[in-house]
Amino acid sequence: MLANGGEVPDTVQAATRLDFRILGPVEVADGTGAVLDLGSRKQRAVLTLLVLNAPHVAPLDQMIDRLWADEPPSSATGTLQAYISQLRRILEPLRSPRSPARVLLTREPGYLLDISPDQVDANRFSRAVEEAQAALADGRAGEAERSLDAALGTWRGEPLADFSDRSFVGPTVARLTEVRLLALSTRAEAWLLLGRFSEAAVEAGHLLDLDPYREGAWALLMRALYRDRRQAEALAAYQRCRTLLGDELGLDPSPELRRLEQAILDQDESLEGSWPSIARGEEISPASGGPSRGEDVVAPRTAGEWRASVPRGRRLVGREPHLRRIRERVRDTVRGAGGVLLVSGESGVGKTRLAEAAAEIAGELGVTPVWSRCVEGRGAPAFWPWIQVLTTLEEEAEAGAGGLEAVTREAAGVESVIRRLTGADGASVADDPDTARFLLYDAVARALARRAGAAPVLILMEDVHWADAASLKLLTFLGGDLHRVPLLVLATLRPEAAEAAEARPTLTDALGDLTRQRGTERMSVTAFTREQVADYLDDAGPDDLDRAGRADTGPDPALARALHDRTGGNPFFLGEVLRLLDSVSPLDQVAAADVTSLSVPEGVRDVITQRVSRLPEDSQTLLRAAAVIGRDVDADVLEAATGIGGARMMMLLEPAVATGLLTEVAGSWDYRFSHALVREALYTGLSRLQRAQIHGRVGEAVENLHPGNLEPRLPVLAHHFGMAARIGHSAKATSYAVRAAVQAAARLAYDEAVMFWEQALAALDPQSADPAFSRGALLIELGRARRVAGDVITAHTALDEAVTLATRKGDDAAVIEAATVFGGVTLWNWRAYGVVDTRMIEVLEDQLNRLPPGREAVRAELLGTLGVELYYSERRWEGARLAAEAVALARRAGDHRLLARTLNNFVIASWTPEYEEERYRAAEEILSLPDLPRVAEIIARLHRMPTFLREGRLTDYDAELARCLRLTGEVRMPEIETQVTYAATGRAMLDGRWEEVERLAATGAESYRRISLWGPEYIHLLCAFFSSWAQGRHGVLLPELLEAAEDDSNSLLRPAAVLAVIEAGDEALAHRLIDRWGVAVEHDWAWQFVTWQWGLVAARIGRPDPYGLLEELEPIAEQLVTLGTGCISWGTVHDVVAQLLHRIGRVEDALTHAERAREIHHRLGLWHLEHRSAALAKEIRES
Amino acid sequence: MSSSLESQPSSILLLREVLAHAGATGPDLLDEALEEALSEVSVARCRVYVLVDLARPVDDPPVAGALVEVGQPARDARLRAMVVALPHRGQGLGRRLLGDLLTEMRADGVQRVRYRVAVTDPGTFSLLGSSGFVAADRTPIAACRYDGPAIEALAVTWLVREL
Repeated sequence: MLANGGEVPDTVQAATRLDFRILGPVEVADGTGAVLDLGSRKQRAVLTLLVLNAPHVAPLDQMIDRLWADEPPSSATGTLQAYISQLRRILEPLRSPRSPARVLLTREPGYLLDISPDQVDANRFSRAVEEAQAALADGRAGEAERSLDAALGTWRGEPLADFSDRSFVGPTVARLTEVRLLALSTRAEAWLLLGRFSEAAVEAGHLLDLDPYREGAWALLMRALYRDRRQAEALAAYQRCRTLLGDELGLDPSPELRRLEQAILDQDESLEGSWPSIARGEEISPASGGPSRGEDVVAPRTAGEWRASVPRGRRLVGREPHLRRIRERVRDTVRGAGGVLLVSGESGVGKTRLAEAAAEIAGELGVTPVWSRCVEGRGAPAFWPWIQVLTTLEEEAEAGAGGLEAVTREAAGVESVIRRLTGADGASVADDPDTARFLLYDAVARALARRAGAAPVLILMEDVHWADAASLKLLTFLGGDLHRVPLLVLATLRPEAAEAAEARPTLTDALGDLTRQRGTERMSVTAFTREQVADYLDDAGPDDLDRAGRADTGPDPALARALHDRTGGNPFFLGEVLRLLDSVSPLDQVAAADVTSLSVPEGVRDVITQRVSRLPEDSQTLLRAAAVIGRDVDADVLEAATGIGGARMMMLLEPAVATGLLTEVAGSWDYRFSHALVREALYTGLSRLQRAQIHGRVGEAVENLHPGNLEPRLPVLAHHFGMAARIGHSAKATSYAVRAAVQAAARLAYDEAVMFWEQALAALDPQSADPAFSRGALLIELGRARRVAGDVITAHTALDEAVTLATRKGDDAAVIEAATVFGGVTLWNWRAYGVVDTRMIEVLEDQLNRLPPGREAVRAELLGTLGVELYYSERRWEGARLAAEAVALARRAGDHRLLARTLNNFVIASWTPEYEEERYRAAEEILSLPDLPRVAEIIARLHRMPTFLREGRLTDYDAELARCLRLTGEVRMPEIETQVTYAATGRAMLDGRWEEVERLAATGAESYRRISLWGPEYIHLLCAFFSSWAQGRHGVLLPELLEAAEDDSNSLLRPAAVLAVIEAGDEALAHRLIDRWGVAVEHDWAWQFVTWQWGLVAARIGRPDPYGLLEELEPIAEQLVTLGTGCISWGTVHDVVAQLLHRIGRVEDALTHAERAREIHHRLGLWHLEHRSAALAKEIRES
Repeated sequence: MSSSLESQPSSILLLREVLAHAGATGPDLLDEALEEALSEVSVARCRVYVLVDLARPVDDPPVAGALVEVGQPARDARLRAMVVALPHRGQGLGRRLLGDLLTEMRADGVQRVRYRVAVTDPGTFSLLGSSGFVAADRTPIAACRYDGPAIEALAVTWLVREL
């Protein structure tokens, strides 16, 4: 059963010594010559079928059909399997139940007697006859005679005597009888040469008794008699033959025989030598030699073998373009330019087949293929596919040749990376998770690059739609560099699974990221067309189609059409339907009508279900339990979960292996479902309760099998017990999910951590009394994990609920813990624009009031958080003051972390024009703190950058931006990525790089969307508007702007909307809008930008009051305009001041400001703005 | 409870061998038969099989059970008892259990199964009669008119089936 049997133990020798005899009643002798007891007649019939098929597989369906035609397939398959097991025991009595069978093997589509042709007496006999004929032709008559004597002596009676009533032995018996006649006549020929004429004549007479119409025997008789000097008898024999043929068959003797008669009459000398034997003309040629005897001896090869070739046709139908492209990419990889190939297609469309072909191509071109598979569900540890890749590479490195030292060194590198991925090196990562994650990814990337540098590698990663988020992120991380590394990743995925993964935005993100990377290519694999179905049939079974007389025309087009209609061209479905059809009737007789009349199967699942239903019932049960374990089935777990013995389990699963539903994993006892759909069909066939119970059993089995070593299995345990939570496994489900979450976070797999916290909550028993796993505690952890993963809104939902729960219970510590999660270091206010959470403010104030003295660190956290919460309220100033107080407390406590946190609170709470200076200094101070985490550093820099920009310090800004971009690559938090992208967007806008603006804004909005903070679409809209505006394109976004600005929470967009209306020439509407909306400007982070825009509006239509605006804007005329973290940046405020002054008639002053604007823009190299300022100055001058 | 099996989409029953000791099959299922068997032959020759439903809690008693005595030589076996637990009767589980048992025995090399007819168990008698078992004296069961279990059972003492 093990495909790769290494050494050659005794059992093999025992097998080669077994002797299978069918020249008489069927018997088997072992190495000592003792005849074995083969058991009941049915059992011997099974063995006979196997012998007759050897060295080919005897298809299971065919055996059932021949031996149990009138029994239901399910019970017949069980009976057959029982006989197979028993035969194994008889043929290999010394084999222990858990060592692989070596004689009687399970091989799809059935069973194989793995013996050499020489172990069957019939084959030895045929070969002996053949050799004797050759010897005779050489004139070595004595040798021929001796060997034929010996061979004929092995006959113990009628061949297959005990099954002569069975039609399946008919062809074999007929054939063996022929060979025996040939042997007898050859021996008689030998006697002629040896001068034993009368014996030859007697033998010829015997042969004619057996078959009087054999002209060869007549010729032999005539020649023997003639040589025995009985010419008259010889001629009389000819007459007897002529009469017989003439009377009974109405035939004349053949020309050969007539020539022989003439030669006798002529006493031709040639009769002395060996006469060109007539026998040879009708020779039943065993000529093609012994080894292929087995298949000729049996009845014609059946559809079973046709079917066997179905799944592995010689070429891949309809995939030529894909293969061509893959070959090109593999070649590029050899040349050092790798990348990522995303192969997508619905399930069963043949992605794996394509991947296998790619692996072959890689092999041909000297690229090492390495497989890894992602596992459905949540059972796999983080980084699972990568762990598989690295482990395989490490094993290869250990086994590989080459400089020993280098190999060892390399292996050591890979090994340490594996340890880090599995969290086994216990390195503390708590200090700065983001840096740690970057370093980890980087280590993997370098280990792979080093390995690929030595010899190019093709990683075949299957089913990435099931990959964990951490693995996907690692893939995107790697993807960025692969175009310079001889490493190609071919990843397969199902688009429908990707679409269904709405709940898993990481997949969508990863695919998006990957697709943007250089060196990534998507390739879709689609269903077969009708013509391709025909090609497939053509490829799959030419022999049988030959026999069906369709060789010239190819397969029946109606059949191809029917199959295409039925299966939608899905290759897996097609294969399954063919198997099903074949198990019912031989495939070469299948016609279109059979396909259309095929009962139930409406879809591939039904086809699979039908195939499963043909298995013994206990086998079905085991398969269903296996389906709960997963696509990969750990045999020990299945055994323990179902409580049956290993030997019996293997026996029960064998029919599933024989029919191709399950495959045996080489080198282990484990199994794997041949296709994900098989597992799915079985799993969905179970009721909820059944699933839950089996999940529970599987969970317990895993626990019991690995006592004391559950760490690597936490995700699996969390998964199985989670699925069984409602039937009494809730406590375990929660506890394992919690441990898995903690473990995932320690491995920097933040999205997984979120998932496990969610799982823990879902599994929680509402009745549970265990405080360690209270809903409130889990909610806080979930909120924290979501915050780290960047999902702000849902983090809030969880924390709000936690606060409510804790408040109800009067648990202050929990309230504080939940309420201050958001006071952590953050770039942006976590509330939507203008939103005040009065309840949270109350909670925080209440806690502050009740906080006993001496807990100053907690007080600082609460104050800082409260300060930020107050930002959008009327108490903004108080908020800033409270945050400042928090900073003071932290400074006194001398706690760096607390200080960084509260300073950050302050920066956000005081984000108003009045506090610019203090905010800048706070950011500086954060940057001066020791051991600053990467994220905090980027955030502080991003807070400093708007100041640089406003002050026109573009060199500083650019340096800072470059540093942030680099750090972001390491941190990869969407929240941070977005803001850095925005900073780059505004910078491109200053330069007038419009295409870049559009691209960056789109990217920013896209990654912003993932973190659920306010307004990505509006920021994108504003960017697009100002970008068009600057280019003189007006009115394009007017409807969108008007619609968005109508909403009170988007008041930020209103001046831009009015400006757009004015540009579109509808001043009346602009006035109406101002009447409706008002022109109040909040003193918040957007103040400068909003005021600037109203200035632009006022300069055009005189509203809002230009004087008021001048008062606001003149003092900051030297500043450049920027919004937030710089998503929109414009030139100096002098421009708008000039316009306003011009509007109110102060032409001279206006001109001064316009000139100043031009100067500044010129100095900073902002050409399009300089051009605008110059135009403005000219306009003022000419007015 | 008894109707739960019918409403389930696919059966997940499984035959399991358990240690032959009293209570092995849950309360009362085979205890009497086992006690009797153990008084006649050694425990090494007794095999207890149970049919369990994986959709039930691990601690639930099996839905059916059987006691087999392996003979000497091992190619002969005696089916001593077959019981379907009361709540699960009438669902064809007896037939299922018998099919599983025969497969098991075949795989173990058993070639002939005997059953001694018990007057008290007409159900097993008729099940075996319709499953290829014949009276030991080769009288086909069908020839014995079924006029009442007690009468017929008296007419036949041993049923056998060749595997």
